[in-house]
Amino acid sequence: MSRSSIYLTCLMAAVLAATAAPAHAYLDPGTGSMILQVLLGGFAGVALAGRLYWRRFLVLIGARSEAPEAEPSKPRTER
Amino acid sequence: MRDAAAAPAPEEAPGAPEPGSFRDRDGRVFYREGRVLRSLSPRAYADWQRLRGTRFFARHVEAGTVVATTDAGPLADGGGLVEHARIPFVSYPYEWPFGMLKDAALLHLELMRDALAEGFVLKDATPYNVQWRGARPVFIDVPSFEPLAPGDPWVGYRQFCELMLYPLMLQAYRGVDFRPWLRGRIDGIPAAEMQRLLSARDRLRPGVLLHVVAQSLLQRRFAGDGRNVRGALADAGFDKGLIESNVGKLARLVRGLEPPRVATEWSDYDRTHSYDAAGQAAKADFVRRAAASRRWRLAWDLGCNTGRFAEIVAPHAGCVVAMDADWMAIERLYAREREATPPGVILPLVINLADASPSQGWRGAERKDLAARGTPDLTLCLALVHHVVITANIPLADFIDWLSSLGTAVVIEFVGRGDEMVQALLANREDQYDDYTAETFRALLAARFRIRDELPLKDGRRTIFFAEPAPA
Repeated sequence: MSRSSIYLTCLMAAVLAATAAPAHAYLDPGTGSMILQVLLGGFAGVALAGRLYWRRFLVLIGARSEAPEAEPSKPRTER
Repeated sequence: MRDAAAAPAPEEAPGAPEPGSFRDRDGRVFYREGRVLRSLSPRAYADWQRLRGTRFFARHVEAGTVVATTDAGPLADGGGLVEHARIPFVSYPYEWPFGMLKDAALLHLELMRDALAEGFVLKDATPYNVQWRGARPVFIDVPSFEPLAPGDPWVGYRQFCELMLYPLMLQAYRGVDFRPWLRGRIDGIPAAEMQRLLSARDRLRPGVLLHVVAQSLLQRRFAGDGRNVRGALADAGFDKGLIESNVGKLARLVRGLEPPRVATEWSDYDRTHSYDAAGQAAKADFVRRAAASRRWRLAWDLGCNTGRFAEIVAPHAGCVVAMDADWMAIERLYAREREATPPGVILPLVINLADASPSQGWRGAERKDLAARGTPDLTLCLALVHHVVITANIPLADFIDWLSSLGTAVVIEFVGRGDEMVQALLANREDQYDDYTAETFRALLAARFRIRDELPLKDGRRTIFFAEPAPA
């Protein structure tokens, strides 16, 4: 379990490095449960995790800022 | 009321809101003149207009797996009304056998799969959104279907786990009855608690590591975290392919879950009941004559065992709710009824009369007790009374009073003291049941009902009665 715990924690950190507009639902999807859906997403999830790690890597080496203003969030309908 | 089989709940007033329909502000159910209507917010009404044009929605309504719904016109605020076909008798997941909860979960996943293919999603995932026509599941919460916003995760995933996946795992992996867990908490079993309920060995079983352990760990790690993960996932490129993959794998997982095979007291009743063939035939004939005497809107079979007598009543009733405390007997009845063609009218429920489902939830009205969901006009109580009085210690007069309060006709069997089943019940307990005599029974029944027919069975050790409510 310890290896997968590390993986999950890293994935979480990578997800939270991104920013976005707020969204709402009458049901709380649960932060942890949403993150888990990346793992449950099969190959598409692996690709998404890869993109998140890549973004995190760019931040680490200074090629990209932590909260990039150049990349505003997509407009999203309120749910 | 559209449905001939409909059973109006007694507390319904014209335009009365359904007290269990408040969580989603976008669509609330109310009743008007026996019709089931739902008012939709402007956004939900716009979603409905899109939904009714999709192929999957039309297909599922046609198949009966989504409740038939018609547009009842716009409202002044830009929202609108829809009307739903009526469900004969409302039931709750804590009354279902394993197979029904499993089929409700599979229907959810199937609807998710089909909705996603056309850009829709189910925004919640509660088994309370599934009701039954006989033993066929019907999804009733039409405004749960929403267009899937780009990048959105499956918001209902956690709820699916807490209210459907974990209860099924609890019974399949641990052999623990899931019903008290669902009845005990309206939102189901949280991941952290589910994790504690499973053994270390269970972690190797299908689905446990990811859906239980990892989910519990992640929820604990990020509890109270105010950051907007949902938006972050969208920005990172989360798309519906991930949800589709999860849904597909969950469906395989759920299909593989089976309750452990254990024999319960009555699951073999058809083979172990105390009647010989002729006695059984005489009893069945009596029930058949009573059932055929008129058409019944709603029948209850209390202590139905494997449902043999519910089947006799079924051709004469709009709906037969077949109840027994023995979950395995109900499991078998459901397994048989779900394959019936054409679909039957028997709704099998696991209910212990001495501890039947209460009214509960918000204001004690979100979920209703049995009688508040519709009272029967025919009730079978066959080989039941000795269990009520001797096993459950309920005074005989109290039981007959309760039956009478339902305003129902009854087919009721009195099992006398000479019967070997009664002797077995009394073998190891103090006999405090002075009220348990054929004479007292008959007097109580005659005081509250009009006895139309009776027949001695098993050489007079039992008597079966057909009685109608006494005129007021």
